[in-house]
Amino acid sequence: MKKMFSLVLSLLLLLGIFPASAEDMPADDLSQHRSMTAFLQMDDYQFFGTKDESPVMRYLMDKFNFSIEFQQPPVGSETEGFNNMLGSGMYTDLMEITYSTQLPSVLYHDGVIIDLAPYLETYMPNYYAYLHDPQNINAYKAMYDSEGHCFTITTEARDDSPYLNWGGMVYRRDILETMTGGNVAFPSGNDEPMTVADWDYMLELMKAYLDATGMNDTAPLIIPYKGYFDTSELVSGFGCSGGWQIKDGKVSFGPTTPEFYNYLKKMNEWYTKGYIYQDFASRVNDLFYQPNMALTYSGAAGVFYGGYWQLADKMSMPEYGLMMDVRAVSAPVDTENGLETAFPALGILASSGVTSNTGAWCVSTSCSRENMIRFMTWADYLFSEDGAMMKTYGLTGDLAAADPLYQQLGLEKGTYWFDENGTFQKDMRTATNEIEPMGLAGARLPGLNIKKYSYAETEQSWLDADKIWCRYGDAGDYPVNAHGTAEEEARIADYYNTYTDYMNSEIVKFIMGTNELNEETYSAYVEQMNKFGIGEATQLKQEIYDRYMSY
Amino acid sequence: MIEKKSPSRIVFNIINYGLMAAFAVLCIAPLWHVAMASLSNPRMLVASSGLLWKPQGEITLKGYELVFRNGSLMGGYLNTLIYVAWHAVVGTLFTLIAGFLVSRKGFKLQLPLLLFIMFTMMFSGGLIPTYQVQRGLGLINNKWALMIPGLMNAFYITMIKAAFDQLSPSFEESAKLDGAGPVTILFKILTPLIKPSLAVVVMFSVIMQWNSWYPASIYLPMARKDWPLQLLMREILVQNNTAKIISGADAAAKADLTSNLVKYCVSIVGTLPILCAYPFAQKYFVKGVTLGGVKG
Repeated sequence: MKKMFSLVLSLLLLLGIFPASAEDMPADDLSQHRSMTAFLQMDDYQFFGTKDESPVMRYLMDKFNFSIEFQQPPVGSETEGFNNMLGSGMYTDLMEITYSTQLPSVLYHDGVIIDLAPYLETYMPNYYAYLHDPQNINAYKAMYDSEGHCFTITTEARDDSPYLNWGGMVYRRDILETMTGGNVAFPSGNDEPMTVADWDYMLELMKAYLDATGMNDTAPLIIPYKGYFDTSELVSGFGCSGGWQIKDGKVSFGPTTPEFYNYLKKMNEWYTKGYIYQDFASRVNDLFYQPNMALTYSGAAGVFYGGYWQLADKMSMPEYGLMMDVRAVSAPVDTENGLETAFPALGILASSGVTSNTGAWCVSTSCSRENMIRFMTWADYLFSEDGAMMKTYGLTGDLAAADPLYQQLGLEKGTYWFDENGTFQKDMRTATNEIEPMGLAGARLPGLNIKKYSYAETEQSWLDADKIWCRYGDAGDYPVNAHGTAEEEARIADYYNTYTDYMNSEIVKFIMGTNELNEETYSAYVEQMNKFGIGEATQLKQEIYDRYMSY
Repeated sequence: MIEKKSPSRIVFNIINYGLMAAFAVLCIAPLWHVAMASLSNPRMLVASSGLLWKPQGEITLKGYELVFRNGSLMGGYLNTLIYVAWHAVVGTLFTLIAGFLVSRKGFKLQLPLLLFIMFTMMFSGGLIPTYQVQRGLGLINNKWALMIPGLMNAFYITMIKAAFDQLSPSFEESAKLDGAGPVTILFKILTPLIKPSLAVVVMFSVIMQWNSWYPASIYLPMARKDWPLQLLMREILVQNNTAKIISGADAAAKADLTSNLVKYCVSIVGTLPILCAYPFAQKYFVKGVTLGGVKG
């Protein structure tokens, strides 16, 4: 009797579990309309106001039967708006966390967002498959932490087509051609400047040219206000990076390495000779990729950080007699100190356009279960082939017919189509750049970016520049998605706040000659940096890196 | 009587006028620079440096065309006019009443009320508590968040109070003898006598509301259609300065030269109405600000 009773109870228990399990992962009922809210930064390129007026968003809302109200703070106040939202406790259902000052793991532990890992396989099969594809191991590591949590849905997933570096050092080839009468002869024998000696040759010619123009303000070479590039341009030629670096599995900090001393010596020499813009330290408001636009655009700069939109003759003004030939240049290899190749560090490539859990969407703890499921449903569509094309390029002709904005802009064929030969075609009348329709596509939405068609359409000047900028690769860069725990990151931030000002001011003084630069003074600088905690920060970074590489 | 000018007087006049003229040039020069930049060729503008005395390259109105084509900017203009008018009329009215109340000697709550007002002038709850109060009142994402809080300003109340204090009590007494009530005394007898101070309050309110953008950025995150002009202008001005770049498309968009031109055009569009209105109120402004500084 007792046994029978126990058996019946066990059966009842089992029967109770199954319905409960089914309720844990209910299917999404698209016949039910859902209303949700989302925090998102404004688009830079606008044909519409808030994101819910975007054609792609409108299509998704119609297809998946939901409406979404966007909280989009004013441009420039995104961080403040996000922090105010957190401080007030009035979370939107969904959040795009580019401007969060805290990592997703911290937001999770603070009870702001939820862990999506348990739901991905059921509600986002396309995204789940993408992350678990062995070819996308970096994306997996970016989105999952070492404990198997996944807090975000990325906006920057991409296919396997090559990712082009959008910026790097460029030089005015036209100046060299003018000064040599077309007989440019770099000491290395190469057709482009590749070694420090080549740069000595190049900068000397540039200075002579710019001095002869009689312009008041000129700059053979423009460097950032702090004297070096965080993104490792120039610096990598001397054997180190401009920030955290990996060498043989060991983490170190580039600006405190012996190689950085060689970099400083050469910069000091160039500054003394007048090759480096004399006022570089005062340009604190310049963006690193838009240095001193008055000089670069007026033809008064020789070597500077530029973007693909400035290559070849794009900066020329024929009507004013200013013809420029801007070409990419890689870091000068310090062969004088025995190097045969530059250090493989390329911060821009490592940090932008890479699948990241900080340029991504999260679900807040304020979001209802039903809204979360509906969000995951439509977000997953943007990881399918059709959805990914829509996210990257916008609506096709058949869908565009229903969209008033597309009609207003005369995009009857949509923003992209395939012609009778199956060749990809796009309408660029509405684009700010010549690759993607930006504002009319699904920019800033979660999903996969199909770059292969963009890549096929890329101008040769950009393809050539990318080869040069990426010549040495990024194997030495500290992985951008290797994040520590909240406590580790807080400690690293503390050390950073302690040593940064000192480091930047000392580097500038060394370059400008205000402080004498020799091995002794450099050792004193490194010792001071150690006192400010760079050693402890390095150790923490090493632990984080080891953990990152172990899963 | 014709006064003969002594040599020292002449020298003084030359130096005085010269310095004033130089100061005026210093004040006008930045505005002139922005105006000339707004009419310049965008490519030439980027390549220029220093103060602009004339437009660079061929004069173009392309920047203004882009500004006026932007529907949200025109909407912002209308919103700002509404907020300015509201604060200028309703705000001044409430300030007038408050100033009248705290200036009445016989009013029992005069001192407590005055202390209460002065307290708010010195202490504030801070951003988050204020936000919580606004949220509790249902004012978030509602244009009333810009129209009710801050409608009255403690400093203006004390200014109006000071203006009423300067008036002779005999005005009120004779009005009372004629049977006038408090409302009649306030609006028909005393208010016309403090016009300069009122003009100052109106002008300050107008300028403050015209330039205001921060409250809207905090309290209207989902109500862009209610944003004032200055917030939209700030968005355009700041757009090219934000360093957060996710992709090359972001960088290229920020490097767009036309948007650099638009920044200058937006500055002119946002500033011109106030510049045009200010001279008409200037006489009241001078009179009102110096009121109380001259006895008798």
